[in-house]
Amino acid sequence: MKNIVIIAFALLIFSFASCRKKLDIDIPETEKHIVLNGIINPDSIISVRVTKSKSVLDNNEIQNLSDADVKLFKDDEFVEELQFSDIGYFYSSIKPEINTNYKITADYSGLKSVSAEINLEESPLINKTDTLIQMKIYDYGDGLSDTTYEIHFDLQYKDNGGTDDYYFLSIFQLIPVFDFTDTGMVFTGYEEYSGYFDTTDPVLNKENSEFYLDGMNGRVFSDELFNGNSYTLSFTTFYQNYGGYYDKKNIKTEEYPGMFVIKLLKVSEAIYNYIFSYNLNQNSTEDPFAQPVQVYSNVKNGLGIFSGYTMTSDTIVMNNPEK
Amino acid sequence: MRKVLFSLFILLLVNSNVFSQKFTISGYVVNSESGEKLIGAAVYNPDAVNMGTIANSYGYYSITLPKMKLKIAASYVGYTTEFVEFELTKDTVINFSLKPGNELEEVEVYGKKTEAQKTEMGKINVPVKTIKTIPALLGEVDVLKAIQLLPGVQSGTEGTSGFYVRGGGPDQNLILIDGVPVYNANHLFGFFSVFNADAISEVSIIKGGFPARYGGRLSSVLDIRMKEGNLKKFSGSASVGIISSKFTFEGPIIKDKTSFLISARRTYIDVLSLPIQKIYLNKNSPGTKSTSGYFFWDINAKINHKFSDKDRVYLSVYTGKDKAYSKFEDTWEEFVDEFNSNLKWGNITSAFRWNHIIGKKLFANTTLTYSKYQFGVSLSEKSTDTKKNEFDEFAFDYDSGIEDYGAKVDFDYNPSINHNIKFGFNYIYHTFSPGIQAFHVNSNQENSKIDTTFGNSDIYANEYYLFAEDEMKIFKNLKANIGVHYSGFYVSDTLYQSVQPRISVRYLVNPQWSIKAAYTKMEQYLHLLTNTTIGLPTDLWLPVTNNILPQKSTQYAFGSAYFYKGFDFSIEAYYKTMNNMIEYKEGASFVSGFGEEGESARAWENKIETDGKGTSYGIEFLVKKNIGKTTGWIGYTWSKTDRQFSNVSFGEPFPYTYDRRHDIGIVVTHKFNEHIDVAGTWVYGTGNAVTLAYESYQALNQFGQFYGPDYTEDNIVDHIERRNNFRMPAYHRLDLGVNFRKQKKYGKRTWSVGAYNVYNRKNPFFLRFGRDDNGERALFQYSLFPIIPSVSFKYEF
Repeated sequence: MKNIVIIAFALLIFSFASCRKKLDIDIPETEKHIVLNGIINPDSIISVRVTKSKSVLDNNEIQNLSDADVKLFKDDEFVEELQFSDIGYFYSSIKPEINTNYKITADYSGLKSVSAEINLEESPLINKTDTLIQMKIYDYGDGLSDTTYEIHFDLQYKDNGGTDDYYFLSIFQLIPVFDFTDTGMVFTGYEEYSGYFDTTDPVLNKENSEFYLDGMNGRVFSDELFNGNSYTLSFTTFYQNYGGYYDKKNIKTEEYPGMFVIKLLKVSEAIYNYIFSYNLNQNSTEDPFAQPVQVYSNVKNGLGIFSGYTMTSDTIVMNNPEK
Repeated sequence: MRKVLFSLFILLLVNSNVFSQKFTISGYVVNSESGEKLIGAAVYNPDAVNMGTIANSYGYYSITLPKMKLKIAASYVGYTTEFVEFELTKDTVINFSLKPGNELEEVEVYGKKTEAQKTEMGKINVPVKTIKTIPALLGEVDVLKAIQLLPGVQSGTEGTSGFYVRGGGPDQNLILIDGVPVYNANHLFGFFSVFNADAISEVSIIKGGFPARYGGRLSSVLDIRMKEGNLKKFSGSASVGIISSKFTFEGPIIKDKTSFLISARRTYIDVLSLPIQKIYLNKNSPGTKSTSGYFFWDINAKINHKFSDKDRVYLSVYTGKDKAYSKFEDTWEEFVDEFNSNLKWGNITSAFRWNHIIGKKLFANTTLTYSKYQFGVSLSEKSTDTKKNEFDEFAFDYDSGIEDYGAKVDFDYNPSINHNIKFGFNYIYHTFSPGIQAFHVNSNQENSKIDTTFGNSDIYANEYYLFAEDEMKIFKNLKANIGVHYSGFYVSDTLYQSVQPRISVRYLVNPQWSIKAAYTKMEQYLHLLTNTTIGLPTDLWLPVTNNILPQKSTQYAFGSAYFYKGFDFSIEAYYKTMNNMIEYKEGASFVSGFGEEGESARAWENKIETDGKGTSYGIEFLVKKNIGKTTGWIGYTWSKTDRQFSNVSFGEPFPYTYDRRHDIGIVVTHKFNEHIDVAGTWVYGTGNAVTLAYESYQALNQFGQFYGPDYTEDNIVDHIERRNNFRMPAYHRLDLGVNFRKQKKYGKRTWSVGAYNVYNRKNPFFLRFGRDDNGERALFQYSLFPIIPSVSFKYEF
């Protein structure tokens, strides 16, 4: 809605600014950096990706630094050298523990050595999750119908006092899958989807907070409005019972209820800063009048982000409101 | 210390009065053909250096001299000088009527008050005649674009009217029309300014050495005075150009007592394109009715009445509006969809002024002012099922603006030849409306109706100032303008106050050559929230608050002026510091001024950085010629300006976007004869500072690790090292114009033919990375205006 001003202005500008010319000026050649990227958690082996930055006009692919010397330190003590694997990552042999400092260093000939560290904190505790389900049935006749559920969640948890804490909220849907057979439909299992949620919660509803973190779609937020207190996060999502659409007569879909897994992650400040700056950077590349934004990095002498999270989840089974 | 200064001041004031008997000569200097005042005309004794004065902003002068046999002259550029010889034995009123001269003759105006003799620094008067002759984009004469050609004044984005003075921002310019501030001086997203040159009599800009009577902005005062209306006879003009038409009409209501002036213009691309839009729609979408367009108009009007030689009143009004609109109606069987959108903004400013001569030496001017700037967006959508009589409708409105009521009284007191004292006060009541949104949803199907209003609430503020200044002769060749400007701003239970000393000193080495210096402190209580630097109507004027402090600046200037054979040479160096500037936080969108749903009333305060510092220094050269067949100026500026915010670019200083090392403006007009004159301008400026990535890298894989080693082309981000680290290519452009004039039976007609960007320079508008024809990544420059020819026709009677 509010974009009408930009649209009107952009139309005007682009109707004039039709003249595009490739510039033959040299862009200063700057020193290249080692780029270290990795997000760790207590359930996975520590791994990082190590690449090299390139000149902005370099059309070659990003170079994987597979020969880099990548070391892992635990509470400042050397643990092991990470091994490069075929899938482009350096792997350690251990999973990280909480309240322990992990440092990665990477060296590569001709580039400045880099390092980054993370201390995983304890995962947050979810006190309770309340749900309110509203449904809308779309009846197509002949026993075929499609039901959409709007589910409102109230998730309550307590924040640690005295520290600035950062979180990431993500929601997954477990949707029952059915196969067509000659005798009708057969339940084959659940498929997991990283879902989307809507919110008007002032803590969650912030521009540029949405992100896919380690394959989880969600929003990052801070405790600045409720530091040290209990807080109830409010958000809404939708669920469609496709099973009912296919064959309502033969399958009792309530026997295979949909499920939601709510994942609340305790993330580092680095991740919080990274997500906002990354989103701002991406938005600013679309708008020729916005100032470009630097993406946050916690890698000393290099670029990228090495950080981590701990997670608590809560599974909610959809009680069929049709009953 | 203060007591000593005060005593010195009083001593200087009285010393010249006590030793001999003195008398005052006073009166107005006017144009003999129209009766209009000549602001800044020089009144002086041609036989004695330093025995003279300058008519004030209302054309009034007053000079006190000892009893003597005297020759006194009044002169004004482009007018014949008048002389009077008499014996001064009593207070005398002499009103000078100067005849517009024949500028074809290269005569040196005898005893002209040259730039060298003036005490003021950093002030440039631009003759309206020159402004009208300068070739302009699409033939639309523009005061602000002429101002941009002066040294120390820089243009912003290509083609726009925004200007940047000595490293200051666009919000730091006080733009006055007949003494009333104009908040948004732009038409058509900044490509044209709101000032119609046909209605203007005087344009001057002050860049430094501000006299104490001005305040409220850090970097410049652009003082534009409207014509008063011809007191002697009816006259007017009408013109037709590529984008607009305008007319001006003026004349006496009661001869020599009351006169009026009205000038109006309107663009007409919307009207002309209407039939084309209709034909196109009838051919391609028969069921659709649609119109869209854009226009702006403005009107300047003024009435002045002379009650007596002592009392005159003036009422002047400017109003203008821009509107972009789109209407759409689509009918398909029984379904009708309607869509309406509007984007509009505009100013109204008005001033009621009363000039009163209290005594021969004391002149008073009282002004009541009103000004309002409003911006609005509206959108509505309606779907109707005419058979079932069902409808859904949705409407959205957004409004923001600023409204001022003001009162001002200022006095001119000329106790002796050695003192010209000005003092007065000013009060403004501001209402800021940073943005109100209203939603309306209605449907007879779902029986739902919503009417919601939310957004930033109004802010009220009181601003006032008191000032006193004395332009005094200290020694034979040493003059100074010393003053103080005290101001206050009361908002949200917080009072900000400041005392701003202003000093300008001029030492006359000889009648043609002077050395000048100035020191000024300025304070500004208003901020402009913008990050486009374009001058969009969405830019918001906001007051200081408990958290956002007033902007402050200190400027030192040093210079010299020299007059030689009709040429004014000047050189000025300056050093300026600015504090408490604001800027959007990194990455904040330029529509963030709109209050978001659920945000607090003053949400904008959280979106800005408030601790900005700026430093600017430079040196300006100007050679100017205002008389003769060939007139114009050459200006060159070398300057450096930067900004520093603790949360931007790691807290380190970075170059300001319009940090321009070299800036050249050349304006030449030449009159061959009464029928043909030509004009040309050439501008050059170092490229703007922009932020550009030099390095790219792969960001964090957001989807886990399943992409494998081939995942090398996705999620590449450009690494920004520093703010404004790169220079765009230099900007330069040549504009040419020719005017063909011919005297007809009932008046004079003028054909103006011109071209903007004659050698079709592809100047940079913005830079962006993209892919070339071979799919390779490259840096592209986008340009706005190629060569643009223009033609216009004008008839004056």
